[in-house]
Amino acid sequence: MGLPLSRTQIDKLGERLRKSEPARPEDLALLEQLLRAHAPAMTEVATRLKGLGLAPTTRLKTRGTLIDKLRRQSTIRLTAVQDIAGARVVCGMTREEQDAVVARLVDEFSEARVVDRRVSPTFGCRAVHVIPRVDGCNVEIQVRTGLQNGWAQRMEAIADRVGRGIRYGEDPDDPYGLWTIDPPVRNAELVTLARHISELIDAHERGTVAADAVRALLGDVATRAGMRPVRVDDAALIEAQRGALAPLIAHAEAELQASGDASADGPDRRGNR
Amino acid sequence: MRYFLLVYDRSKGVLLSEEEFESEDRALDERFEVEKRIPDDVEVVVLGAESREALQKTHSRYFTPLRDLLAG
Repeated sequence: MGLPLSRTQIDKLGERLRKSEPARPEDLALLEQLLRAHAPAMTEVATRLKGLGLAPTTRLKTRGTLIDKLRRQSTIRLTAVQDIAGARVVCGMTREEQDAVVARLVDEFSEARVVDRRVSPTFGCRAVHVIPRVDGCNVEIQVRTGLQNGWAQRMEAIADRVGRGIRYGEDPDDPYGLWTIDPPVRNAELVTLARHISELIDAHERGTVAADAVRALLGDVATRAGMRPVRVDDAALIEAQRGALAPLIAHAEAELQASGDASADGPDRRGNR
Repeated sequence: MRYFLLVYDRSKGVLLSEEEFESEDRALDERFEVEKRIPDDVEVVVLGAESREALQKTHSRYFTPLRDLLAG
């Protein structure tokens, strides 16, 4: 089917969506056309993935996340956004098995680009992306292990509560906000710990950290987190909770250091967006 | 594939509604209609999958309360 607009028209649409607040109805109508035009390519990719014995799920980017991306990345062109259409494959698998799945996808989609977000994670979010171009449309296939996806799902849910910017390395909207955990913890500490855990998962998948160490930390977080976040205005309570997660963060750092993991030079290191 | 239209309140972490379609076109028609009348912090998305179970695996955050997600 191909795209209903020229590349120039698409990029101009992206500029208007970035700048107009709220977006104009006629631009939202064009965006709808653009999204719909990606659906056949996405369906074809899903069909071919199923032909390989995989169980993909698909999605077209939501209006909010697409406009949000344009505004966050102030120079990105709409034609350069590669995940307007996406498919996701999640399997309980080792890193070697993940490599093998990626190799099969590269065989299947010979022109596809591969972006290894295990090596350059997007602020802790790890996966391998295989991006074929079908009928003029990019379709981003995310290949994730169970642990990688489990981490990403939790981080998305936390981001919904404390500010979507944490997905891009920003601080929570209210870093000093507390979660009703026993003891309560600050948003910022929870996010720091989550990023450390992402590093630990990666180290585990590369065989330098034992599964038990990851499980113990995840369990510890689970018992402390997961309650609903609340606004607390009691300055004394907020101050009292400074560093509530510090022992866990230190533990994660010690595990990473003990693993001799060369990538442990910065749990907050920034990946490409 | 089946197509699942989800309406999800991000700030509350609550799935407000879920509707299943056999046709992707119809699911998208509905998505774009709903999108016009909801606030920005409510996400309207169409997910394609062989089954709801497959979606729960790849997109668990829509279906699992945060407390259970973090504990799970």
